[in-house]
Amino acid sequence: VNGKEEMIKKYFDMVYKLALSQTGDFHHGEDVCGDVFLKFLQAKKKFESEEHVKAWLIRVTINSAKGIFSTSWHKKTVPLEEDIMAEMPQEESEVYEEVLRLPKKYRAVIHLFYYEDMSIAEISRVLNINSSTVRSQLHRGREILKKKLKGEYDFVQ
Amino acid sequence: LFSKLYKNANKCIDSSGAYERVKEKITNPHRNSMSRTIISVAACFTVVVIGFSAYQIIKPGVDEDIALVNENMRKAPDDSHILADYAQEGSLSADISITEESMESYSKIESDPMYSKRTVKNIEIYEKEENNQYECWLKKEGTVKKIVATDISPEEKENLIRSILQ
Repeated sequence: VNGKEEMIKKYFDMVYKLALSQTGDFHHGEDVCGDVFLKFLQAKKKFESEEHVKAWLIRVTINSAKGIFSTSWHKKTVPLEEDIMAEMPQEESEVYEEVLRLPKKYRAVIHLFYYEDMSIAEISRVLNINSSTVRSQLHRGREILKKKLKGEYDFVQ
Repeated sequence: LFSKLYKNANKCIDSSGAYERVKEKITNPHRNSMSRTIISVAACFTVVVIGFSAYQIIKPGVDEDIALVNENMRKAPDDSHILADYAQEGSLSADISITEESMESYSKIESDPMYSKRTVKNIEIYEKEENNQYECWLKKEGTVKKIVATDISPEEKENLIRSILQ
């Protein structure tokens, strides 16, 4: 795949929103994006297709977000979730806030399923985990959200 | 619907500003690291300059203090020894002080007509007496000593000078 700059432009929004869902903070989200795209530019790997690029970016984003919280500095900082939700209407803000409160592993599948419209099979392939694991993480994530949001919203599968 | 609200929530997040910032960061990584290096070097240089300036400001005061301490340490044992010896002889009835003075002050005394000059034990001494206050300047082993005594008798004066010149 040629034209890495085009790919960055095309998938920036996807990587950024996924990074935000993982970090809950604008600054950390941008740090993760910078890290992911720098690795992408430096990657000597030959990407077979655009789908391959997309899957690679999602995997690296999730790994990079995990990495950013493993440093001693970030362990001491508390993400400011309110910043992200400042521009959102109230209902959207409530939903987004509860997603950010989910454990990270559930957040990733919920985000990819509901925002990126990826199927369970696609998520399974991209995250390199079993389909049944994706299904159960999605189920548990939904259950937590239902409880928190007091059954106000319908979770269409 | 949860799906719709979550999508809308994400759409509310504007990623264009972040795109520009991230693009800048990844296309000019050297500039960022150079800026950090320049800032670090400038901070170190500022600390060194401030430290050196502060040292230059306090140095004269410190030097003066050190000189004063050295001076006191040098002359205190000598003077106290002379006064103690003199007191032991039982002839100390006057109020006496012995201080060390500079060569510059001594030169002024040498040319001051108010002082009389005489030689005791081959050492020149300069004396002056006014209103019962006796003052004597002498040079001993390269140091200038000034003796000031009030209500001192002629015998005590002679004993004191000889004790100092011993």
